[in-house]
Amino acid sequence: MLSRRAYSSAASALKVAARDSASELTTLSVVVKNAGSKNGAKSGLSHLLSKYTFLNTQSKSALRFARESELLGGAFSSQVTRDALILNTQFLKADLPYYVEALGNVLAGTQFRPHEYVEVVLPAARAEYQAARLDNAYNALEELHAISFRKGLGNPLLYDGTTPISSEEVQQFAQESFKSGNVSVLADGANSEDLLGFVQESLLTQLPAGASESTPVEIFKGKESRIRASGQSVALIGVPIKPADFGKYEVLSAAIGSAILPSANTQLGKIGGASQVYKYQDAGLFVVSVSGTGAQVAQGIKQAKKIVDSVANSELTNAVKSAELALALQSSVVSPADVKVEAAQAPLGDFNYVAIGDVDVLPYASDL
Amino acid sequence: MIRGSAVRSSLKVMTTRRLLSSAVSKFTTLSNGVTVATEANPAASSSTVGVYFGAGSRSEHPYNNGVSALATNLLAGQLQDGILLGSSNSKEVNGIVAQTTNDNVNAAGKLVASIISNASEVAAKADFQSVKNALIAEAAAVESTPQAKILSHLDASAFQGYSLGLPTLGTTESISGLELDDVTRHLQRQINGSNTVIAASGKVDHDALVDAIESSLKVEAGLKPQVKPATFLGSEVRMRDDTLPKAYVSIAVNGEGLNSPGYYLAKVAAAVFGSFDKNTTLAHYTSPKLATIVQEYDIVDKYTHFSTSYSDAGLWGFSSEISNITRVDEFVHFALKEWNRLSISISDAEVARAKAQVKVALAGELNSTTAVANDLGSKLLLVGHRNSLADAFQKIDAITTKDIKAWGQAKVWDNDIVVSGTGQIEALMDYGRNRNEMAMMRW
Amino acid sequence: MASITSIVKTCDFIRSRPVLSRVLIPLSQLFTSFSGYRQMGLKYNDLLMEETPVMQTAIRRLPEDLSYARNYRILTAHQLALTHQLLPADKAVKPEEDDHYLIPYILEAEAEAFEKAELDNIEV
Repeated sequence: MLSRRAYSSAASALKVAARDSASELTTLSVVVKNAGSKNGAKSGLSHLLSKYTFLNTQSKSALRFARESELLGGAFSSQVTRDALILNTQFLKADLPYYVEALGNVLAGTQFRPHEYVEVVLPAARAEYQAARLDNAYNALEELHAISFRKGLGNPLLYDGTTPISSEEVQQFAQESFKSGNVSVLADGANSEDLLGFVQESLLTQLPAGASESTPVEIFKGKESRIRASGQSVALIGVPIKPADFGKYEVLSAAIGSAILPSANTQLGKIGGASQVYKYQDAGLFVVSVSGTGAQVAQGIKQAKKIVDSVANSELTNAVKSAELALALQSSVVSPADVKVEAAQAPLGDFNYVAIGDVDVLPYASDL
Repeated sequence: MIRGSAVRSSLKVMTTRRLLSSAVSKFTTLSNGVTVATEANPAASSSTVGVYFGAGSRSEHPYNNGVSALATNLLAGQLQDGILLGSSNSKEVNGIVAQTTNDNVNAAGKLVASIISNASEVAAKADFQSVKNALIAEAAAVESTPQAKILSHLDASAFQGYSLGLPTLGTTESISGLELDDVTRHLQRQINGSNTVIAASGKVDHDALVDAIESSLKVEAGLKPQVKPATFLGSEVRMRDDTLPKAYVSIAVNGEGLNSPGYYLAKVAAAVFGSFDKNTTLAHYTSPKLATIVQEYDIVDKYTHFSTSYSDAGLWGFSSEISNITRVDEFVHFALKEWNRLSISISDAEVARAKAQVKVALAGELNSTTAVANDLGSKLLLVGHRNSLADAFQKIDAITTKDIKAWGQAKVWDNDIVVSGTGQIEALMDYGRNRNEMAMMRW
Repeated sequence: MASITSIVKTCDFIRSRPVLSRVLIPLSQLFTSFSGYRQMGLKYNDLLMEETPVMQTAIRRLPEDLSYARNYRILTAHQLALTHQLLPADKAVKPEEDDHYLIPYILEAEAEAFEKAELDNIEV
């Protein structure tokens, strides 16, 4: 029932897709690809831009939009991922035209007032960063991305405040990214003809044509990083992989114990670890993680490496169904599952390693 | 109708094409009394089948507190052949929930049916000590997370002396004292035909699932164990801990149960005051009056208004985090004065907004097959039937401002409160002061 | 006290009427030059009462250079008042320098305040 249509006019190639459902709720998302943390001249631009969304626009002030939206019962939020900037809205079905218009206003009509930057955007971005920074697992994953990809996917996900960024630079980034070739409008629980009609009437048609070129991804292997920190200790083994290998590594992840399928009877589950395949547009990261106290992690990460190295082909074949379940659980309107699982040997090879926490007792990569 | 005035001018006309069938729920009661309920969702990417029985921490006593959670964790927590078994533990319902891909639903149904039929054997085969340790860690995590701790102790204080007040997962001491015999006895007592429901959601064929389950299910018929009583007692519990960075405060009044006619009224009333998080971009613009008041002097970091309902009892109130620890009383004062407005001067716009938000929230909660299955299972066990979402929407639409005011006057105005706090709560004033804020002397 | 928004509307009306403009504008210019604040080194917008939430918001939103200049002018004026002195004609603020730098910020802040008042009391 998923109808995919490319809505084309003389100047745009906006993607609009909708799937109707029986529920009374509609989830409408706009995915702006090439506007994630991997893009932008400075790190953190995407995060700041995500905080600027749903503020003052040419036709409506931030206050009016928020009040009207709440009066309709709807909710809106924006999210930054490494690949894309995602605007999410959720509302009752009858309010579809209102929110399509609103999303058009956000993409094509945001005013980027300087006082909003100081009063609303920076405090919210700073607070989100401070909250995320408290979690060592988040810090470890960021470091792993940084050493595996360096620029692009290796950029920090959130704005950390170390480089000053002005509101003009955020506006510039928005102008570069909000192009019709980058934008997809995805709806769950909406009629596709209705959605197309409303999109045609909204400001989404006035987005400049074109799309950002994606820069090629560079992969680095055999890197290591250690970070002293208080709190939980976390050790990560990461293997940067190409999209063609996603299926293999999903099966491997399910075979040894996936974070998506939390269970106590898997090999990693027994030692307090988990594995996950982070899938991006042009690359991915297969991560095996162990967290706990320093001593637990020191022992656990060595065991985890042994587990990954000694996976038998029979275990991989048995894990195909679990891998399919993991993919099904991860799929959503904005990121539909389109990975084909295959049971094949997925070697660690020259892996990257991050140890964070009680670094004095955590092993080095060569000790594993 | 609310969708008028300021918003109407920008609305366009929608085509009236609608999906022909709504989410169809089907129910079958087997000969042993077990109800099998399914809700088909053809667009689901995965499916969930769960077996639910009405036990929960409410069926325990202080010395075996945690046995119901331990029992379900022993039965679940595994990944088998593409089927992920998890447990769902609440105060009144326990469930073993199997998630699987759409082509495997009947196998998952067979699996949960066989687990519940041989519950004692399955529990005996599991690694008792490691599951027990994991549950102890979970219970300790509730105590060490301030936000969860105050809510757990809020229940404990409000329903003190009754089993509904016991912590859902148990305490570390009570779990440590549990043995396999306790688990076996608990399962034997709680699992019988009229106390068990199998609920499924996703790409499920009801008849095929019923056939698959019926062949594997061996549960004896029996009477539902009597639900232990519970009454609300206005009280407070303070767990002051100046080593924590903030003050965490929660205050509630006696709310509505699932079976109560005021169930939706309580939800709408909670949505009138809503949630607030000062670190979001929405904070400056959100509608509730309380949010504007607290931002003027940066009184609170975040608060949430909730209306939790058990089968015959409930709690209605807020829980909050406050960094500005000298302003704890300010926040409690303004929040409770806003609650007073519920009985006196709440406006039509606020009620309309709250109704819309409750509708979206109710629909949004059922956003995964697991959530739908859990809802099916627990509603069937606790209420006896499950209202469809359309039904709920109708009831919510029928609520007027007068109804909310009447509910406020009965359940909130000058009613006893239960207070629970941890962290740096020196500025949280005495019970008498807070209790007096529940009404105003206006003449 | 009337809001700046209503005053600006009145001024725009006056400017749009040739008769009123020809009479009132020269009169107002004479009045402001006799007021004497320019000889204290101040601009008109420095004199507006700032102890209101709207004005505080507007002043908070001034860009750095305008904000520093405003503060310097107010300091200068305090010093002159203290020492019972006035600025010589070449140092005083010239009529063409007396721009309404703060008015746009005040108008925006007032618009926000009015909108909030309207939306807080919405009728359904």
